[in-house]
Amino acid sequence: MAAGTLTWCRFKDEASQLLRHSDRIKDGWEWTEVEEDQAGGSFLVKKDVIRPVGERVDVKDCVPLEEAEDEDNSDVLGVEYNMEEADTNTVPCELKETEYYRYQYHVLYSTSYSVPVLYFIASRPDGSLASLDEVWSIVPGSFQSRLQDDRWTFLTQQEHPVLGCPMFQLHPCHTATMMQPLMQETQDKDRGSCNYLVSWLSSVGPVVGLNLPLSYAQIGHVT
Amino acid sequence: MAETEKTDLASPSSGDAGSIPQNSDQKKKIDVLLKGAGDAPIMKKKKWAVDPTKKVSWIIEFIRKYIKCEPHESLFLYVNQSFAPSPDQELQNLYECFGSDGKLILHYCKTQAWG
Repeated sequence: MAAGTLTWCRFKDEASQLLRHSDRIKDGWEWTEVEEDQAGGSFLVKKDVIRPVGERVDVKDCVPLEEAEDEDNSDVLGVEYNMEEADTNTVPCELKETEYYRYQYHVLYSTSYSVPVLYFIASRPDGSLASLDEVWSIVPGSFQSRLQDDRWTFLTQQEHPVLGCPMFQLHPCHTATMMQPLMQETQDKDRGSCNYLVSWLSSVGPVVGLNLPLSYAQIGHVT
Repeated sequence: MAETEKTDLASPSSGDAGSIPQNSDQKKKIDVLLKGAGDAPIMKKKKWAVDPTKKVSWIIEFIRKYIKCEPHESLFLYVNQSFAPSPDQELQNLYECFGSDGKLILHYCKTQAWG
């Protein structure tokens, strides 16, 4: 397999690990089989995730960090890193009057890219689907600043490959590039392979409101 | 965020889940070791003492500025070398779950991941 990718078999195995942990902590993930013998024909689903409007992760005022006392590091340059207030970079947008959105997340396997792909829909309290503008406006500020120029290529509306319904998708074209250094790091250290799916989902999920509890970090590791 | 959570791992040093044994009212800073993964630039200064209430998003922004991340580049932070904690997760929680030998090791990766 090319660097940073994973096989359908590994996807299924790691999904099982994720599901076992999810059951244990009642995190709500389910396995849906639609095309049983087909690579990519089954996938993970998490429903009914409520995200209140107005909650957004912004970087607060930054102050310089103190340097830890380190007797080996006597060559302190005395440079102060001036942490001026970070831009919150929120997107000016006319939001409809909505108290919350109900999200549903699907994790599929892309046979084209040999990586997992995250699909989701967001609906308003009245059941109507949120627009791409609305979804974008809830992306945390710390991600918006980096994705401003490329946001439409990164977050797009796509047809669900198995169900056929329109959903939003985090485009998978750079997933392998993103995962490659991480996979290399864990292999080099001879710690056994970690759970690719959990590493990937923990990295990209927060962009669209999906946060994995910390306990998922223990999946695949010998503790 | 709706899913902001306290750690659901029992604190190893206390019978009360989630409580933090403290000897004083002052918040003791946490020693953090920042390590680059893959071809991420290595920070000249790797060890930092950080306020335990700081969030992951704050640490990410700090590293981004330190290593001069371009706006179009993404920076990811990992505990246990493989898990990206939520941006609003507090350093305190990370230290309780993944700290050892009095410090917390965090790995960071830089990538042009999107677009």
